[in-house]
Amino acid sequence: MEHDIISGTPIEILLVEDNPGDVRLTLEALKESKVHNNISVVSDGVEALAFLRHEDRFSNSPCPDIVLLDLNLPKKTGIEVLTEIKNDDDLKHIPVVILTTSKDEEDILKTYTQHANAYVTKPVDFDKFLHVVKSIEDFWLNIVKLPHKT
Amino acid sequence: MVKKKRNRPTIAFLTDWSEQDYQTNLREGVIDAAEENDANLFCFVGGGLNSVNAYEIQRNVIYELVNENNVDGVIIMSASIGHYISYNEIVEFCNNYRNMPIVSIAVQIDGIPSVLVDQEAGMRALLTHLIEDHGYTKIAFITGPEKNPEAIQRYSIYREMLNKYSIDFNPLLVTNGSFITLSGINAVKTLFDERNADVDVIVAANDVMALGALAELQERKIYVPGKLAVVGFDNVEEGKYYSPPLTTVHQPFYEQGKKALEILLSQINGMKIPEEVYMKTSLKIRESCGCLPERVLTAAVGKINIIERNFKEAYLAHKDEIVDKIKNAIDDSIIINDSILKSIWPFKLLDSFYLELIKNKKGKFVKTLNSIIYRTMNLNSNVSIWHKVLSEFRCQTIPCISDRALLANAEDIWHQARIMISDIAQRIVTLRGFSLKNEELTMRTLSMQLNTKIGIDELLNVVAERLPKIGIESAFISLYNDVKIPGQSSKLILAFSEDGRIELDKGGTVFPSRDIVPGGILPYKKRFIYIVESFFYAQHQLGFGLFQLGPKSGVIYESIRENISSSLRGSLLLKQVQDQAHCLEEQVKERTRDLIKTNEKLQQEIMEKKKAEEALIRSNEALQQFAYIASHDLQEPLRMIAGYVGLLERRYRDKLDHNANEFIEFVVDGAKRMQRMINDLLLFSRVDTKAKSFERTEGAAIVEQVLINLQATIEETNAEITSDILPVIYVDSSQIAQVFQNLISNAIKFHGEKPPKVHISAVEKEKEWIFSISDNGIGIEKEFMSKIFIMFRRLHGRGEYPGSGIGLTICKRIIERHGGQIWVESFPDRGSTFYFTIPKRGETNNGT
Repeated sequence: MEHDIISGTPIEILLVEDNPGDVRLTLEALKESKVHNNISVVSDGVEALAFLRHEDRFSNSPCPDIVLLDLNLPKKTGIEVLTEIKNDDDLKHIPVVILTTSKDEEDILKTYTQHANAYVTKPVDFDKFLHVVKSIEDFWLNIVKLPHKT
Repeated sequence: MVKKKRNRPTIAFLTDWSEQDYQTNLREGVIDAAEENDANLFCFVGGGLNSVNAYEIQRNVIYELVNENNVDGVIIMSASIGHYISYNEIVEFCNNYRNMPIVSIAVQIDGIPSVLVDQEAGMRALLTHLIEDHGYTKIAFITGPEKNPEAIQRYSIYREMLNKYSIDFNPLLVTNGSFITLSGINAVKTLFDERNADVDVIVAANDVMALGALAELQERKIYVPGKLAVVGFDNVEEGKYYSPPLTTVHQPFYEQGKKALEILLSQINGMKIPEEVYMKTSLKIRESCGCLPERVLTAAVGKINIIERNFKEAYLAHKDEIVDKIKNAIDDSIIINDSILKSIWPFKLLDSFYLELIKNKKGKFVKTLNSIIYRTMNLNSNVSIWHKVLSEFRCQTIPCISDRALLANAEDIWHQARIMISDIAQRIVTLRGFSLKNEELTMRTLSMQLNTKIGIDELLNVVAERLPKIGIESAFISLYNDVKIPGQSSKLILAFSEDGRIELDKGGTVFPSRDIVPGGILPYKKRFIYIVESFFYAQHQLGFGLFQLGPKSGVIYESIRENISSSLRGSLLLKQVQDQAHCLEEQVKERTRDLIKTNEKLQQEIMEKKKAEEALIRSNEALQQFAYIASHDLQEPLRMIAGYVGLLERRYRDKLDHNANEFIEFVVDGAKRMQRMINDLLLFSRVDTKAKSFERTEGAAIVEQVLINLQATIEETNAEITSDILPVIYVDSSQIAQVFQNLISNAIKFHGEKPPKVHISAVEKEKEWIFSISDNGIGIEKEFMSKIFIMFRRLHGRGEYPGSGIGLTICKRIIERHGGQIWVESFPDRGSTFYFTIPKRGETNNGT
């Protein structure tokens, strides 16, 4: 199965993250991924939604297969972005993986919305980070069976 | 000796009892002399010393108030004050005042000028009259008190005179008396009932006893003087009006009083005076001895040598002679204070007689006599003395009238005059009765008003209002501050003078008792006379009062004293009760005040505690927030460090040397440890931020879940876990589960060489459950027991036992949140037992 994926069209990933350190780490981890991927990065909630809706400078941007969404964002928070995605018929089919800082934050988030498809706590060491990326791959492998975007 | 702070001398007159004749007359003499000599006078009425009457002794205390501070000299009525004591005791009493000029009355004391009465002469004259004029030989005698010097003297003259006239002394005719009425009555009984004595005359050592004998004889229908004569000594007022009037010896009491004051003043002025001054007595022959009345006797002209001359000539020729004679007729019986009248009245009388007889001015003589009598008399005067004047006048005038018609006219005039004198005398007697009645009424009204007043203030108001109305224009009433030492200090509670009430300090103006009144309060500008009376009730001393002399009757002051005393006593008792009630009330008030204060303090403490609690809550909240934020925001940089070091290690391991790789490991390890601590801190902050309300929970269920959680560890260590039956508790179950989990996992973790054994139990107390988790592990050194609950405190190296050291801190936090306590008992190598308490709660109670 893996080989199929590797050889296939690359996965379009949107990373919404304002911390450059985290962005780079995520990018580095994804480099080592077996899954072929294209990563786009935006650094606030407003840009994230513009990207998804192909607005302004993002008119030519690809439609992402998965969104990795940090919670702590400028302008619009992760939760606001999530809520808008899930209330937007054109976007709600896009799987969203929430990146949290702590277990605690995850608990709070759960009480807000059930719309997120997954929650991932940002790990401290790089090995674990790789493990997370692996999880996202697995997650992806599961959802590719979902109806393909039109 | 005495600082002259007063512009006129002030005299103390010490007298025992003010209402008897002797004292009254003497006091009047003193008072009149004070007036004539411009001296101030205090009459201290202090009763007899060591009297048989307890009430009299109570009064003695005011004698102690007399001293050089308030007076310049002292007149002591030694005989009557010392009535009940020996001569030596009298001397001792007088010695108290030796630092001032003193005059003693009626008792001769060495070194003290004494005003004495030549009693011996009077007594001799009386007995001579009885023996020579009447021919009496069976002469009975009633003695006076045994120790009384005057009584002794009178008796010795009796014996001397019997001897002189060679009359045998018959002891059966002598009875013992004590100067009182009863002695006279008893004497009659003894003489006639017991001794069946034959008696010509009873001589009593004083008038009072003579009057008693007279009364008893009258009772027995024994006619005096027909069957038996009775005579006395002293010349008291009552004797003059008795039927028959009493023959007696006139004691010059009034003159004695006057003389005493005069020689005291001489002493004060530094003049030398004789130690003994004698006053003359005089025989008063009335009817009780068997004589005709004096004025009846003197009314007879006797043998007349008619001067055959024209009346006018003869009268003018004899005028001076007549004036002298009639002037002598009244001797000292009538006191004429008006100096002009004193010298001219006989001339006026003579002139009016002449005018009526010769110039035919009808009624001129009677009118003139009438005006003279009225200007010289008072309620106490003996008006009948004017009969004597008239008799003398007639005796001297008749020889000048040779014309029968003129004589008839003259007799008419004299007759009219006699009728008028008798009328006046009658009226005076009647008036005296009225006056007594009036006095009595006044006193009864005052007494009623005083006795119905309850409070001291009310009582004083009545005194201040009433006394001026009966002529007492100024008074000062003081109470002793300490009745046990009256001489020490007093407080003046009422003061008024002619100018009205004098303002005093609240509760009375305090002053040394020996000053009599607070300094400067007496009206020294004017001459004054105050009667000083003692206030007492039964055996209780109260205080004393100064009453300005108004009415001269001593009875009034006695009555005022008695009334004020008893009212004061009543008021003081009432005040005492009221004070006690007030005191009690004050105590209650004070207690209430204390209580209120304590309450306020308590409330304040509660408030402060509340504030502290609020502050604590705020700081707790801030701390929690800090712990939460710290644990979040610290994660990010930590992640950068750990993440990139990890990336470095992964990508460049081969390119770095051995040392660099070791350094990278340290960085990674440090970051991991830091992350664990941050997570623990977060966990700790969650005890409060993630708190749930208390719910009914099976203790066993909690432990069961915990054991499931720890299953892996239990299996790994081969631990044996046992538990007693655990109770139902009201707790935040997930938190208590955490406590059990931490404690059980600790118990397993710190095991020794043997496989761990852990026992869980619960003991019920009145208000709480005590849970315990005991193990057979390594135990804890005593010195560390208190430290194990402190955050991040580890007793063991990281290599030996894993863990950050937050577990017990969280346990403590959770148990405290539940209102319980946690502690440990342990011995090294013998295991530890952790205890915690959970308060019992009702189902409705929610934890916060």
